[in-house]
Amino acid sequence: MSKYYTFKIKRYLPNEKPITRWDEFRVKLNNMERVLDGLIKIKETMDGTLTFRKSCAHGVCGSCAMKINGKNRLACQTLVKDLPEIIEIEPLPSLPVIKDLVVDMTLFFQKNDKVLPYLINEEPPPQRERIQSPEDQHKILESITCIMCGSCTTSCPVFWSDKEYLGPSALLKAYRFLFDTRDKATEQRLKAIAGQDGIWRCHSIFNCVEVCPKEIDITKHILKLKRLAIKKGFKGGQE
Amino acid sequence: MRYRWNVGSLAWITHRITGIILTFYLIAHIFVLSHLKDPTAYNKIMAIMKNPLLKVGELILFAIILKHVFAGLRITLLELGISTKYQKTMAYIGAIAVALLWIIGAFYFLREVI
Amino acid sequence: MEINKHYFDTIIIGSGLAGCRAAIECTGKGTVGVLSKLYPTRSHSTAAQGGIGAALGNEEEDSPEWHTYDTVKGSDFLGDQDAIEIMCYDAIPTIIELEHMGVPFSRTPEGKIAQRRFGGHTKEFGKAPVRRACYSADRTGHAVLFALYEQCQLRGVRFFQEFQVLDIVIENQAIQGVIAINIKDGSLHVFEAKVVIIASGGYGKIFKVTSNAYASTGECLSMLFRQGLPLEDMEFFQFHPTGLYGLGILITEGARGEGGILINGKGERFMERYAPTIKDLAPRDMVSRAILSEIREGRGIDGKDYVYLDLRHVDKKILNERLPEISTFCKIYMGIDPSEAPIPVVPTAHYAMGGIPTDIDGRVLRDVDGSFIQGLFAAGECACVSVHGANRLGCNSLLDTVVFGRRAGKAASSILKNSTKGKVKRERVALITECLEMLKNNKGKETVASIRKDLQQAMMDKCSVFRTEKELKLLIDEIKTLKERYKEIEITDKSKTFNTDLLEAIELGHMLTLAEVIASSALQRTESRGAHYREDYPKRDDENWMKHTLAFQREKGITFKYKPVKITRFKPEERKY
Repeated sequence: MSKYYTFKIKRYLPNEKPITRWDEFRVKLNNMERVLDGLIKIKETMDGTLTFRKSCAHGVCGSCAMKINGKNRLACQTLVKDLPEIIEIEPLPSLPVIKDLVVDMTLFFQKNDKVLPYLINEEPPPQRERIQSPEDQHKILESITCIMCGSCTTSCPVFWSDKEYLGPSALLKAYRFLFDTRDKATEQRLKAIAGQDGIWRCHSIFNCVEVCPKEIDITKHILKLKRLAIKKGFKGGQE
Repeated sequence: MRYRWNVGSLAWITHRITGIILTFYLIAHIFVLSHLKDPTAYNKIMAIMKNPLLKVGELILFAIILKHVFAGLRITLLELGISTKYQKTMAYIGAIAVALLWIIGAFYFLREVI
Repeated sequence: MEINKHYFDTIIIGSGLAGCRAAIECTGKGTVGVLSKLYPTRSHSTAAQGGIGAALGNEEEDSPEWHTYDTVKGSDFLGDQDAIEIMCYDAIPTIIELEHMGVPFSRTPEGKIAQRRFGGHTKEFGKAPVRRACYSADRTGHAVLFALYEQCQLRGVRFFQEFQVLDIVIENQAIQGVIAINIKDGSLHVFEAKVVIIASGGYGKIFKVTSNAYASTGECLSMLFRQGLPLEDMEFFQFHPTGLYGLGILITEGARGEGGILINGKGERFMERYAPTIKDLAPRDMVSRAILSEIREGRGIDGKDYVYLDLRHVDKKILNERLPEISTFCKIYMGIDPSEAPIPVVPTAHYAMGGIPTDIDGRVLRDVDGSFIQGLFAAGECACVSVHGANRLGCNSLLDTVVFGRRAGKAASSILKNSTKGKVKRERVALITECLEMLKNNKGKETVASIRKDLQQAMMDKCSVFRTEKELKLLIDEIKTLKERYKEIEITDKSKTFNTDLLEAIELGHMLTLAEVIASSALQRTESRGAHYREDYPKRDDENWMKHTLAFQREKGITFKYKPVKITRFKPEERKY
């Protein structure tokens, strides 16, 4: 069963005047096809200049996050049959646009780098694997599924108004290591996230949870970080 | 297109707006109180307060206070560790509680006036 | 055009598992730069689901010797046994090391790394399936890639993300450097280096139905081939038996490892007929052929072209804990819950066994005599050591990337001291600039999309699981026509900023080259072995074909040379499961 959809796409072409405009395309898609399939069809048959990122096309690489009908989602994971006939597509909000639906993710990734996003354990490792109970592993189970697509951070009103805020994605990364029993850098990492741009800026708005394509309850993780920080005696960055 | 609202973001924005309104109200309130220096002034202000427009204003203020209290309760409960699974349910319960308490309050309030 | 010059001791192309693992090995021994056409964590390693093989023996008795035997047998005896032995014995310390680096493996009740069954992995030389695949739910690739990337960050590896490599410069049998374009602004960058490690991954996008990413186009292989270097065993391309019907999205073999079974239109568990001992856990080439045979003989579901993967009898808790990702895929893309309905599946193009010939330390070979290109290394799916021979076993690919990524990194940094800095000549850069401009300004009536579509369809129809001489010959003609058509392409995007239109045109050119190598290699191998099944030569022919194919580009076209298979412990036998 196929049907026509109207794709209204916000264009940003740095070499053309005007730089921004809205273009409309009518595409016939069947009910198994996704927004990404529609975009590819447009690029292949109507306008080769339409630019967007894509790679795995099944929701594991995180390349094709964009704002579809007012909500951040992965184009490859959004079936057109679940959308109205008019599909409005914009780049992820609040990051600088490079071209059409491609945004500059540098700032987003920089946030991530600030939370020491790697396992730190200076004790000499044992001969075999470090022992970790399944219960302990389950504590980080949800947080390790993050694909860093950027949907969450760019849906956060706090991030919209304050680019210094670490944002949900980076905080989730911090959680992933803080709650990994093998990691030993609790204090260092807490210092990185308990400052004025960290966890206390989260106002439990839940926009990040609404958009996460991996259905991670990010706010839950940030709330746990807040409790951990209080427990360890960190308040707003001062010890 | 504007970014789509959802329960969490609506709860957050209304909490903020009611908070700002309450701040201004409190300043106004303290300002008025500071002028209640003698019985004449008191009577004068009480007479102004009888204005039906201000009565409506008080009803709105009551709603705002209720909204703010329940939004604050929801966030506090979440921070104390109530599962985030219930964040939407809590927002709905809060909204219902606000409506109910407001109706009950408004009933007593209006009875007094009439 | 302004050209940006960089110098690094080591340049690594690709930031998947092999690339990141090699980068970790190279840090501290010189400067390291990693080029990736995506953001590093978007590399397709992240899509690997089921597991990474190592005979840890955490769940039941296991030994690297059995692992070696299974891999040799799985490769249909075409794998080089010295390399396989290295891989299977190195597997154990390598996995332990990954765990120490922070990979969040799933755990056994005692807190050790959990392991599950996987296709072709057996105990006591084929007696019964064994739990050998270490996993992190069904997101193992993702878990390992993130941990390795994070370790690279910790060690200060410099990443150049969204840089597309345009040329790998080799002169006087030695590597000089790499020319790349910064996709973001279209600027050209020259990276001179002492050593270059290619870890650019696979090229599944040559086929229509594939589990591979849009980025898996294999241009680095083609760049070497066009310079006269050989490509090894290109006829062997693995089709994963269980891709989601219509989409090709991978459903991990772990699903069968956890108890899932394949059923045909009659409701039979048909793998019992094809592999009586290990049934649904037979190697992928056999299962793929079995599925397509069932469909051909009219036993697809309702006579249609798919079969079912049935997980309904698997404990819901296991589905939720160990296979959450594929359950979500089924829900999102097919609208079915695997605990309630069977999953419609068909084979999907998955993995290239063939690639850039290397020795056991990742050195890129330039001929059958073992001579190599000074300073050039390759590891991962793009390389052919060969540990996978004619058919790769499940969960051996992640293992291959980390074991040989590490070895290549080690070997590369060990020669830094005695290597001279590479030099990329201006003329070479000028040539690339010229090619880019030509492609951009070419006028014609063809589009990238239409040629690519025809190529993918042709490869799928004529060069997938079943092959015949007649069809392969037709295919080669077709590819030649497509190459002619390629000269007539016109692209619409003329800008410098993020010009994906231009990049896709470049990729397509390389895909056409590779497709011809695959088809020609498949045509000349007149036997059936592993993933290469010739209907006109259905038997394995050890007498004539126990050898690796090396394809070369010569003036008169593609020519072939052969290299003997290294057989050490396990003599070829009939492959039965």
